[in-house]
Amino acid sequence: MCMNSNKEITDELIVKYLSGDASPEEAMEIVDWLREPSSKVRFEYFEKSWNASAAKAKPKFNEQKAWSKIGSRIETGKRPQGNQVQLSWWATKSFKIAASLLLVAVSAILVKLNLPDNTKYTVLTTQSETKSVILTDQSEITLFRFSSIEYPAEFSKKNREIIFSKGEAFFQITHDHEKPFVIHTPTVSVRVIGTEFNVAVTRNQTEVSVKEGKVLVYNASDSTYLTGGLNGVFNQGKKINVVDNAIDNNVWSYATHKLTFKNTPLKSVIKDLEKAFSCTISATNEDIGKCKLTATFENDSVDKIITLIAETLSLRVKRNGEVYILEGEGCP
Amino acid sequence: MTESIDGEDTILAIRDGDSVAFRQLFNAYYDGLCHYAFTILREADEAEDVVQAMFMKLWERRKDLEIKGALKSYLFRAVYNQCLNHIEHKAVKKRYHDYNLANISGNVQHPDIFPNELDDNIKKVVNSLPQQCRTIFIMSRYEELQYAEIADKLNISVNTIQNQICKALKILREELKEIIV
Repeated sequence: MCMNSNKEITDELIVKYLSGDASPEEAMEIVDWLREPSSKVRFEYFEKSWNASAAKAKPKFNEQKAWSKIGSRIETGKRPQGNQVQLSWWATKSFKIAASLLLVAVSAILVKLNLPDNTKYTVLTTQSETKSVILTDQSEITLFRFSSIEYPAEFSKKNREIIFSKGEAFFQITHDHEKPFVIHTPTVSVRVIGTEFNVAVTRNQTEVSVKEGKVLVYNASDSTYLTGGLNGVFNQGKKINVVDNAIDNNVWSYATHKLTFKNTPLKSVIKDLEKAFSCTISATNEDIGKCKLTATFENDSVDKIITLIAETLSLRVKRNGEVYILEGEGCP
Repeated sequence: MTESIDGEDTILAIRDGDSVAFRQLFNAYYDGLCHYAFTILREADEAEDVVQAMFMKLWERRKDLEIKGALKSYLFRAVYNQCLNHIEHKAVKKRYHDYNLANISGNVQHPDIFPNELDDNIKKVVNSLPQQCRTIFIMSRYEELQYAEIADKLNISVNTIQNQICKALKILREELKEIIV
């Protein structure tokens, strides 16, 4: 017989859910419970046999694709009009979020610049924390630590242009055929219609990694298209260098909170974790870095991830503020 | 932010036409709702269609949005109802209409009941399940019957069904360690 090893979520409830017999309330419980990484093992124990018993694959849902379908229809929907509605916008959630991002963020420095076309630009600079900003066209930019972008309070009628002077950022740009989105870096410009990609900028180099869709990268002398999965490196005064399949999907995990490892040495895992989260991880023994890890983490805290990794590899974790220390034998 | 995403603030914001709040709600629940719809409909594409249609409807009717309690409950309830409508519409179960129940409880093998592409080893293990366990598992997994329907046909309790399917999955898992990775 099946045992009830969890207080609320019993094996029977998991099975009932998989069979398509869960009530909305029960499904909510399961879905909430599944946000805990520790739940996955027990859930998958049943899910895998359930799927295999009818030769089915685990379903995958593409939220971004779905949103681009729905979002385009929402754009054409009616927007708030008139003074009264406009006023009430100040009390809405998006205003609160925008306010919390722009005002509460201690490290964000706001400066107003007058650029040649007289558009007023806002400068957003991050220090030791990653920040997200949602622009007026609903595009989202996640700015990595120690980075800086400039964007207009309102886009012009012709285009959507921003300036990216240094650091790294992940862009989720909404579709608008009429108004392409253009990012100007010191070395090149990146032009997109609507897609997701990562850009890392230094004074004389720009690296563009495309997650989905197509982007056009150009400067005065050269131009190239990059599509999903491609990575392009652009050096000042040099030819564009495109690398196929060189993308490490963990590049943008500071923005997506999704990390994937496939037989990855722990040394690299630690590097990725340190980038995605503002923390330091050290190992007391060089052999620890040689252990291999295969795992996927989504929306988990760094605390949970490190604890899980340690459990998997029979290591111990010590924590000292933002510093994690891994102890144990490691792997040959 | 995630704590209050299904709160009254979000309902009010969406009613006011705040597409950012709507997108956040979408991001927070799209995956979970699709998975739930998938368990009922058993087709990922159809599950996504149902969930997307539900969100579109929610946005189109945002002005008349009267939701008591958590928005999350509303979403799961709406998806559930839509799935049931969808099933009725398609009459999914018709495929197995002619299947003779008496045959399942016998010891004869029934290759027809399994999907064509199913691994033979899995068929073998399903066929070797204890009789009641096998009957119930086949009705739920391959005939796609609801627990209440199985309970009705076999004159047993829903509890028994849960236990037996649970048992079947555990046996499959143990017997097929190499195949089910």
